[in-house]
Amino acid sequence: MSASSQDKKSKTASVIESAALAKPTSLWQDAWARLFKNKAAVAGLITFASIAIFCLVGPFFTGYTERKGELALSNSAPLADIMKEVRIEGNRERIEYKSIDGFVRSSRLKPSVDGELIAQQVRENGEYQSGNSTYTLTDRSHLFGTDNQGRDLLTRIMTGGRISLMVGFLATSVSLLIGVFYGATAGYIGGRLDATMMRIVDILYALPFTIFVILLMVVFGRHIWLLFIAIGAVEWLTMARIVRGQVVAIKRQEYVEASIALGQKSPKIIRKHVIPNVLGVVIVYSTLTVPSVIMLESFLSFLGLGIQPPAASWGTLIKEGAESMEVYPWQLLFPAAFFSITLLSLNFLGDGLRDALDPKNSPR
Amino acid sequence: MLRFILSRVLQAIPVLFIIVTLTFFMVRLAPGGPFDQERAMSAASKEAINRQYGLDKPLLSQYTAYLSDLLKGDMGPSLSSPGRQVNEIIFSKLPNSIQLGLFSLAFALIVGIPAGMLASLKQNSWLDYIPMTGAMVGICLPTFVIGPILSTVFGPWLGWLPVIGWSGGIEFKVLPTATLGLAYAAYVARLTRGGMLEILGQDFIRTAWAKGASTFSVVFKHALRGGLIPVVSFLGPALAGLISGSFVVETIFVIPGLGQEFVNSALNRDYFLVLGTVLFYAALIIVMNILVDIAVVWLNPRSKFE
Amino acid sequence: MPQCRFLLLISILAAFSACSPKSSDTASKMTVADQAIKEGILIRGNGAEPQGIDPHVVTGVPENRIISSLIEGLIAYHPSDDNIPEPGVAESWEHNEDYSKWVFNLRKDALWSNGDPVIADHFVYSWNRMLHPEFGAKYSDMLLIVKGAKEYLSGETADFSAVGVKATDPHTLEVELVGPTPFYLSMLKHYSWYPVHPPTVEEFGGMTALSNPWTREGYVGNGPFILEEWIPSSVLKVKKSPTYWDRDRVKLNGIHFLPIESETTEDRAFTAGELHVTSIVPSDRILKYLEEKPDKIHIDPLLTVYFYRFNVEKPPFDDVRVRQALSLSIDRTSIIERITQGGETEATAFTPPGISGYFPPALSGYDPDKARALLAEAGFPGGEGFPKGVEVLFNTNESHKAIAEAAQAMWATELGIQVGILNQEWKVYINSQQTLAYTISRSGWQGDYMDPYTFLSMWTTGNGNNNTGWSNDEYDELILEQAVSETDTAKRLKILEKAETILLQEAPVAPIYWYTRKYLLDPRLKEYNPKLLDNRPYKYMYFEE
Repeated sequence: MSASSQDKKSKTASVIESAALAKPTSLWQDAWARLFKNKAAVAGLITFASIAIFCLVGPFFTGYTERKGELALSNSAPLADIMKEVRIEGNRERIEYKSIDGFVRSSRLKPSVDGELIAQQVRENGEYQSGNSTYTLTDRSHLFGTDNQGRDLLTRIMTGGRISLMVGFLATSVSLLIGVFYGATAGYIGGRLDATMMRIVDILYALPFTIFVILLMVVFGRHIWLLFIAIGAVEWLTMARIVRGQVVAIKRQEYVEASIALGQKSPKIIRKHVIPNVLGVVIVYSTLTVPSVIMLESFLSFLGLGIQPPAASWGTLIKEGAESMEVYPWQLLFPAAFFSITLLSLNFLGDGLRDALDPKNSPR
Repeated sequence: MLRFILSRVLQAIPVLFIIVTLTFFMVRLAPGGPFDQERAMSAASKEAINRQYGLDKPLLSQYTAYLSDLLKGDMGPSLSSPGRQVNEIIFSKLPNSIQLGLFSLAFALIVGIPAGMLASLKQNSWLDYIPMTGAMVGICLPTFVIGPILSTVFGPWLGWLPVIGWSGGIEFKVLPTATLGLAYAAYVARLTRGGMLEILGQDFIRTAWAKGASTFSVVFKHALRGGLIPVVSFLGPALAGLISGSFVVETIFVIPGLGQEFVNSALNRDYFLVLGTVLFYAALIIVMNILVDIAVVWLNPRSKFE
Repeated sequence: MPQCRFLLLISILAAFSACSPKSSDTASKMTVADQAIKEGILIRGNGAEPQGIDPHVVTGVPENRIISSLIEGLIAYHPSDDNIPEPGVAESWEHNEDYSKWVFNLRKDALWSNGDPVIADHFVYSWNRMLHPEFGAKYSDMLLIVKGAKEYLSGETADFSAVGVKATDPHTLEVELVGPTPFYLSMLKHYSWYPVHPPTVEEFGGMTALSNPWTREGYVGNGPFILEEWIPSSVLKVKKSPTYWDRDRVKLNGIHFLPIESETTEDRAFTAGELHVTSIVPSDRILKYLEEKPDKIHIDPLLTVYFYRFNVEKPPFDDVRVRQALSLSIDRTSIIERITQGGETEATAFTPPGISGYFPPALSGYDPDKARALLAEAGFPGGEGFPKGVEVLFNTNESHKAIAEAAQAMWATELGIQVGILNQEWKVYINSQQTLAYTISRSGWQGDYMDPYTFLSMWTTGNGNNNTGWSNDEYDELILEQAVSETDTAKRLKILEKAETILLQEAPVAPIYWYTRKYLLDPRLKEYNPKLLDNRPYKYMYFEE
């Protein structure tokens, strides 16, 4: 149980107690201990780790690849029955996999093929011959269905997850590092430097992002690291503003003013008072940055930067799925589900981390 | 405070100048021009068009000409909609964007702040988990997913609300406001919770609890002001973004707002319209940030204007 | 714990997909579309917001849909067949034996919407405007077949009277062309030949001002409808013209053009009863509509081709066998059936079918065995040694992407070659294509008039629309010398067939399919007929409950 769920009286008691004890324990040791006591955070950590492992290892076990599809099997529903059609065309044999339901649907528009009959026969006998075609029932199956190229959606979600998680973390870290350092410097030093630094942020906010990205590509080509630069370039700005606001507020707190008056050195004040107090907001905002970074990646792929087909990311899968959600809902549902579960678990983990690192919760 | 505002406004002048300059040269450097089209145009026609808009002159003299027009309040012609002026485009679409922005903001605050407060007061309980999960889902499902879902359910299926348009009665406003507002409500809720927890852990709040103050008084008299600081810092840029329109929501619901101009002007290489929209957005950002900084001081009496 | 609530989300989404629209509910209610029918108003989805409605300034399909209701040219659209010239402002016409000189007799009752008569001088003024070296009309090259037009546009002569268009009296217009042009009447339907009202244009900014605001401040047209109101990005309304010469035939009281850019939004608006006609149907819903609402979905063939360009200046595409191999290994049927799904036709030639008297040669189509053999001959047996860095370029779009991915997979399977995919934002893409900064590039071409020339003239050496680097002397000779001087229509078409055969054998392009126009139509709207050039004259349309 964390401190805040205790009742008010024991809370104040603990404040007095801890002030009296003032045992020098490491901030991080305490933090770890507290983190593992937080059930939601632990659940988040476990979920997140399993998704990461799932994405990393999973593609080796699905039996399908991210790239290769069967066009004839496009948009087939999750766990649909799949049959193999061997057709003689002239002196060539043509093999196509088709979902039985999809075959029946499309045959309704072709009066020459009796789809219902073929489907029924294949389901009953496992095999049927009609004209030049032989149909055989297969045990091929796609747990999450297939996409518009007839590729296994599950595999694509897993390989897409690798990319999105990497982009999410690297780009968020970049924006976090720049944003925190920049915002904290501006806020702590203040005065003219603060004003100049924050006006630079204003300028960067306003520049047209689309044009910026296009220019980046013109100058540097289409490298993957440009993706992080482009995303980092926008995402750190709000972080910097938030951190600066927080730092300015902390600087005005009595205890910080007191330390300054007592002649304590800046690095110590920053380490002891500023960073711990900013950390909470930074963690919360970071967990908000990860999803927007992952979605931003799909916008960049619109401009031609980032993931190029046939590779996919969660962002592009969700975007494509959204366009056909009324007809092929699974193409949105599954990628969106993975995306949401990941971010939820990350979020609970983030909250737990925030609570754990909160200096007010630690014995002082 | 007046001095603060005055100095910030003065600072804005060089900021806007730098933004205009950078943008001016950035759009010119981007490949593809405003009159490039799939079907090749005769060379004579292309030259004539460039002459018409003064694009045949040296870049530097175009730049000074643009600046001098700008000082007179003229942002130039639109290159992609011949016969229209940038001023006219921005000001004719602004009212719709402001409406949509403010409605969505109101929605976001009304839903987001109470949810965040509740979560922070009942930390690590169901009253925390449920709204925060909802918020995360709101953040995870982008507007291009939520918009079509709401629109399909309330339009074709139930037949309760129109699916396209903006001007007209309140029934036109509901779906776009909810779609855009939900995304922001999620952020507001998360940030409120974070900020509140920060404050609730502080000594003066603990003292207030210890003195036996009621939850109501602790929250509204002491905690809320400080707890909203991160929300307010977030809202500055967010509000500027809301007022300058949302491309996705405008496209889904066919709303004549500024968001489409932002995106399309850049894609069309409509040089003057890009500059106009960027300038407008920059001014908005600056104003919002000044307001935010004032609000932060007001929320946190210990901080000073700086 | 989070998973529990996640299940809830799943079930909501699943309910969303499983639930079928309750069309019976909405039918009982009076929809916007029902109300409009009572008032005789047609509401149509019109794609992107029009850039303008000045026929000499704009280009594009949404613009054309509006302008064709506001202005009428010498020749008007036929209600159902684009091969037939329909009298417009010109009541009748004559031409000399070799189709190079034309005389148009203008009808005396043709009026502008302000009551002024439409006279021959207005056409002279309008074409002068189109060709004026200071104006900068994007479609000026359409008019270059008029004698002397090229010299006037380039500024060699400043005297427009040297150009082959004269008003011999207020109702007679004489046109002299550079050579025999049997398809001239079809060209005249294009909006670049439309008249504008000279006093109005002069009043608001003069003949040569591109940003002349006359279209918004005082629109004067001569078409079956007049501009009523234009709220940018919201709606453009036109109403029946009281001065149009054939006003008795016009049944609709007005048309509302809604700029709906999103295909799915347009689809929803139609289903919710807010539109009578859409501009398109999202491709993944076509099958569903064909099954469930076959009376509402329409698929009409168009005179438009979807194709891949090969950059013949870059190896390996400097080798005709490689180009042929790639073209032969594209399974077009699968692409049409599984991806585009809109009843498109496999393109067996570059020029789409439908032009009367023209029968393009047929491509050999899908033949992976032959493709492999050709590739091996070219030095890449089984794809070995095929250069890296070959990429299919396309402008960002889901359908282009899906086709490119399919082609990529087909080439990998059949030929064993790895081809990349590269999407670019529209203007960058155009720039790459025109500067030949690509290896393979996706393109489309829509015919402007009913003649193969609109598809074949672009492949001559150095043509601004060639963009492949391909050059063939025999082809140039056929197109630029023989076809333009042949006065016998049938022989001329034979020459063009011969040219197209060369184009297909040399394969600087791989035609993939011929487009269709897919749209949803309220069955109560009549006379919205299939048109190869996608021009639907509103003049003939009416509602029938």
